[in-house]
Amino acid sequence: MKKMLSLLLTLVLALSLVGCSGSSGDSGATDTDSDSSTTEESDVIKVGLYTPLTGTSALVGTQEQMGVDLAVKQLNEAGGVNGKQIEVIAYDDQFNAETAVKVVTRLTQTDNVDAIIGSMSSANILATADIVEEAQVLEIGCGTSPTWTNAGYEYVFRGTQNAASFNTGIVELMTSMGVTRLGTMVSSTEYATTGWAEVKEQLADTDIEIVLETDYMAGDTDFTGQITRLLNADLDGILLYGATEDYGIECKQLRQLGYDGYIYGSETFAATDVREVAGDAANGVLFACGYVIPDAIEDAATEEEKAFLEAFVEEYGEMPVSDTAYRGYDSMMLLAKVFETAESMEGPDLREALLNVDYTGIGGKFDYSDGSGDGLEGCNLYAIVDGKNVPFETFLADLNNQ
Amino acid sequence: MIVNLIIGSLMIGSVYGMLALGYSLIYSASGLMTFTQGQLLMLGAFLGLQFYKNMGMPFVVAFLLTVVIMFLLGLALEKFLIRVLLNKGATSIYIVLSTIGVSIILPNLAQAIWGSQTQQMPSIFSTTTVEIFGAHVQPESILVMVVGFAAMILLHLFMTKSRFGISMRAAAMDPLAASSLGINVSRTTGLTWAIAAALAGGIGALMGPVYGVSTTMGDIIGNKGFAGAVIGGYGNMYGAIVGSLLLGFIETFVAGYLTTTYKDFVSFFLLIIVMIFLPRGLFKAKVYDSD
Repeated sequence: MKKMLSLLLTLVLALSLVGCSGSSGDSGATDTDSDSSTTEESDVIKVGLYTPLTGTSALVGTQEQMGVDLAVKQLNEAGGVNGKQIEVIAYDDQFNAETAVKVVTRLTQTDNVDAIIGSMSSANILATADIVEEAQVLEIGCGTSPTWTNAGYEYVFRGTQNAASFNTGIVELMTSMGVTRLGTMVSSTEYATTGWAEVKEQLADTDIEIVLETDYMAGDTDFTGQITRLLNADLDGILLYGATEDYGIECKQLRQLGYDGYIYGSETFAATDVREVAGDAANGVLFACGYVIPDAIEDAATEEEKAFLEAFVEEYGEMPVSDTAYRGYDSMMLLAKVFETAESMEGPDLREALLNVDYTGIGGKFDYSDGSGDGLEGCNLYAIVDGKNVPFETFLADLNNQ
Repeated sequence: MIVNLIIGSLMIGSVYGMLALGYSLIYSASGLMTFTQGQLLMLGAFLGLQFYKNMGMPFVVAFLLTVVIMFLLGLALEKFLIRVLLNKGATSIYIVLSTIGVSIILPNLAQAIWGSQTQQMPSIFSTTTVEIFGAHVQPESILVMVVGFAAMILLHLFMTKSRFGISMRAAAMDPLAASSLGINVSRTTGLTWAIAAALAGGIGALMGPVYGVSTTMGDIIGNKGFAGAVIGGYGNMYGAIVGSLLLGFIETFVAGYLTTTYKDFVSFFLLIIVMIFLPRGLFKAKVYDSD
């Protein structure tokens, strides 16, 4: 009996440590393909991945990993790159900069990866940029915050759009809709505060008056105080800036407390989660983003997107729920292109190959030649109408015809 | 504006209150602390989602089934973890550690079963909002409040009027004397863990349609329920309710009139002030161990 109890306790503690430390230790590393210890180093190309796989942002991180894994599967089944199979070493950064520093140090110094696909958390990319620079390991990050490109880093690039373009899109949406009195509800995360700061800067050149700014802590679920203040401020537009998991609840509470105007927001509105949680309350949301996941494969905007969605559904049995799956997939495919064209697998050669890469992915044509770290430009504008994402132009035309 | 704020405060306060009651019940019955309440709330929400949305049961059935399962889970938690540790002579810090372990396991377990995506739980009522004194309120929010208050009153009656409740209080006051009078102290302690789990799980199932269901929904709420229990007087049932309602009112009104940025700062600053100047909370509970 005593042995049983000891075993149970050990199990409880072991499981708790797994949950707590995520993948910062051996236990959390997931080698997508063969076991690294039994594979000759020269036979494989090692790609590191760090992103949140547990906690509040597990959804977006997991989707990113699914995108990467799908790309690797396709590449390996097609014979690999340069005759070598690709192996992904994935770690959970827990949406936490301290953990990210640990796992990126491990990727660069112990695992000796050839390149890294970075977190969807921009704060974590920023926190680890110096480690990557020091090790001269090429990294393609999947966060959208403007903070870490155009920042002088040599080896840190972005595999998706820069949120700066989304912020311009948000301002465009608000001016098109004739907003004059704006209220905001902004999350305390780095992503949201820097994004809002940029929108605010751009609003200075418009006629839009910022009447009331409110904010909240990531993880909050009750927004009665904020919304009540917003409702009393006589606004004709409310901007939400936060995470996917916040938006559904916020829209629901805004509508329930009586707000029936338009809600403006960032690209995290593109996740299907928001419409799922908010239901009808999401109607009237206008947002700017890079990609929006269509409700059905046949609604895909491009051939690249359609091919990706077909492969994703075949592999996982369901459509992606976050565009981070697109980002992960594009980043891995970009890296494959870089490995193919680089003179060697050394960091400087890989960097050079990325600056001259010719790749068109789900996000569009990537061009890193200006050395800023960004490879995609522009954004798309959408409105949620009857529970569906509709291009803003179509929405506006319908509105004018009414 | 004020009506919305009052209703919002009462609703979130009663959610904190249900968790705080669990914290206090366990502490008053056994002198032990638990850190699983927030995660039990999350598990209850997922069970409610499973029965109501995924299996299509009527909400009342889904809710009652959730409460029963959570009650049994609470009993099992006490019998197979806490009691085992106590019988091995573990000090209270090990019990706290084990509950922290459970609080980490539960979200990971939920993520493995239901996924990491926030899930929508359909509305219970056909109408989306009702109007009270000019304020729009979701009927589910009122249900959370009503069930919260009803549970508090029922628990009060159970503890003061029923034989078993009086036995529980006796066992909490003096376990040795109680057991010499034939009260099964182990069983009464087990029951407090079961009631605490049922309260947390039940309110979780009710919160689903309001907030959606996710593996992290209990994290901050669990901490605030704990704060509510401390403010009221850790271990005092009535203190837990009053402390939680007070916390709900403070954070909602601070966000509504003063600052949303420092809403949590003000709330937890209040907690620290209470701990310094009123270490036994508003209801002067016995907080520190005498030994």
